[in-house]
Amino acid sequence: MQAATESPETAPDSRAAAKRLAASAALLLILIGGFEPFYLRVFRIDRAKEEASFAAMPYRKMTGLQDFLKGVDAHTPPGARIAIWCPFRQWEGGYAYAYYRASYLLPGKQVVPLLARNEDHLQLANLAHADYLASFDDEIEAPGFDDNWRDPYGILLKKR
Amino acid sequence: MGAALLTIAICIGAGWPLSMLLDRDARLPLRVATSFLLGSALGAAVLFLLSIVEIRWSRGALLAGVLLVTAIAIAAVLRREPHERVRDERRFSPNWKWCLSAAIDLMTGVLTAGFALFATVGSIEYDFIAVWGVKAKEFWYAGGIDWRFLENPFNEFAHVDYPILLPLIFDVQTLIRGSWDALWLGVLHVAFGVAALLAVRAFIKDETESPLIVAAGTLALACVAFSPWVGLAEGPLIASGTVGLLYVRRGVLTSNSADVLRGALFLGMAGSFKNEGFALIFAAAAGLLLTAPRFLSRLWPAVAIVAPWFLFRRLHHLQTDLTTGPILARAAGRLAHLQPMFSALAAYSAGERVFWLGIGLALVLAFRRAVTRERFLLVTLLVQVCFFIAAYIVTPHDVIWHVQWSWERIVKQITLPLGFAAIALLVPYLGSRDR
Repeated sequence: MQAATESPETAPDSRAAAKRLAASAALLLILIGGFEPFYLRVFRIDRAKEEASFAAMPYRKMTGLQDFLKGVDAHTPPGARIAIWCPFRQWEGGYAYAYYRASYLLPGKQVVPLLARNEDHLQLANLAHADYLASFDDEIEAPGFDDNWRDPYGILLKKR
Repeated sequence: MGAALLTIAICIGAGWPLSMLLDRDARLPLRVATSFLLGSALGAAVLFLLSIVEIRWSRGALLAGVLLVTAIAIAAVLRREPHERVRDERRFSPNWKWCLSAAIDLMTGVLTAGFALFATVGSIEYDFIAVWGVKAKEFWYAGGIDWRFLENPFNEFAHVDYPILLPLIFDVQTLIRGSWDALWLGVLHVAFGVAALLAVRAFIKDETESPLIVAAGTLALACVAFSPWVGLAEGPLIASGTVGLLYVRRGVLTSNSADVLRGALFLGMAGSFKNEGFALIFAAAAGLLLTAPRFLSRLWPAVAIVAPWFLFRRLHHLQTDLTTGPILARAAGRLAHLQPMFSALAAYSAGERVFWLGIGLALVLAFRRAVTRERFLLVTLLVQVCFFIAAYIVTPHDVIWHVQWSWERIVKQITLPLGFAAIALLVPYLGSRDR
């Protein structure tokens, strides 16, 4: 596939040399601009330390959330419907952070939001769709729910 | 890691005969790349079909389905008439150019190894937890596509309308391993990056006989081919979309309708990874319309591949967030005040400026060649950018927030084919003394 519409080979030598130089510069710019230095720096990192750091990173904004949700998973049956409560009243201001992670860490169970998605107001009527209420970082009582399990980070209530 | 590497090996092995059926003349790097892409898609297709016929997923059922298709493909390859491949008759003669190109290839190898280390260190992205990983994990737990999970309005956050090829490929590895392990799903991410790079290298080799330019072009595009968003669909979309576009481009340039068909297959795969991949099919159709409209109908495999998901999406009422609410009023409002959107597009990174400077210089330097020879790729990518902007115009989210969290990522989807086009434009100027 060499059918060039221009023919640099037939251009005068000086012009061809200038174009060759410009083309080399363009290639160099693409190379430099596309280059990602971290793919070289990564050889010098402490892998065990970085692995631990990366593993904790998705949960670092809410200390204990991961452990609490793992506990909730262990104390609820498959198919359980679990409402998520945490001390944040804005969807993008903290609630979604806990809600999305709950969904990921509770496979085979349906998490139920108690905040209207993207609307920042409580939707406690959703409790009717839940068998459990998992409250992270907030000691709560809910009518119709009894204590089921707790850890230092939160409490799991079960519908009567 | 063993299960991850075994999954890659199974994908390449299962895809190899399919790749031979598809393109018997493919160079080895392209063969490996397309084998992996086809093999991974085959595994996912088996899981999709098992779900449709309501057979619970298991490692045995997955491997049986993959083996069956592979055996049929091998039989079809063997039944074909013997085909004499055009051999490269040049004799190997080490010289300084060969040594330099080998050194450049070594640097590409080092970068690839660095990318592999980065992708397997466990950097879990927000969207992996909220979109791609959560669906794969739910499906694996349910032993099939969990339509109830997708249909539940409480799970709309997971973009339940997105095509599910990537979660299914994650589940292929999870079934082979026997348990969920997000860390080593990164190996699949590496494989897609390497597939993209191998394919681009093979297509650059179509443009020039100079090993030096092939090596330098591959190195220049290495980090462009590697998506830094581990576990998201960008990497697989870049790989399949680029292979698809470059096949179609070759078909247009050589008037080979078979290449357009091959490209359409991979574009269909891209459309099964993400909605932007689906848009890429229409962008490619626009590109063909303005360059080789006679090949337009040859895109049918792309449409055929994405159609089942759209059918099931409709059956299960899985709505895309972009079209929720009063879409026309929203679009009219945004069109009347475009400034915030364009300010956001300018403010948030679309990659390194130096890279774009290089692309711009290549386009200026070979402007006429760009218009005549690279028109298909350039029109396609331009239309795709228009689709990106159209999505921002209709988005129900705050447009600045939407641009901030997606612009760099979606631009990355098109930089590899664009980078390839730039290098293809530069080849006659770089290589005149190498031939």
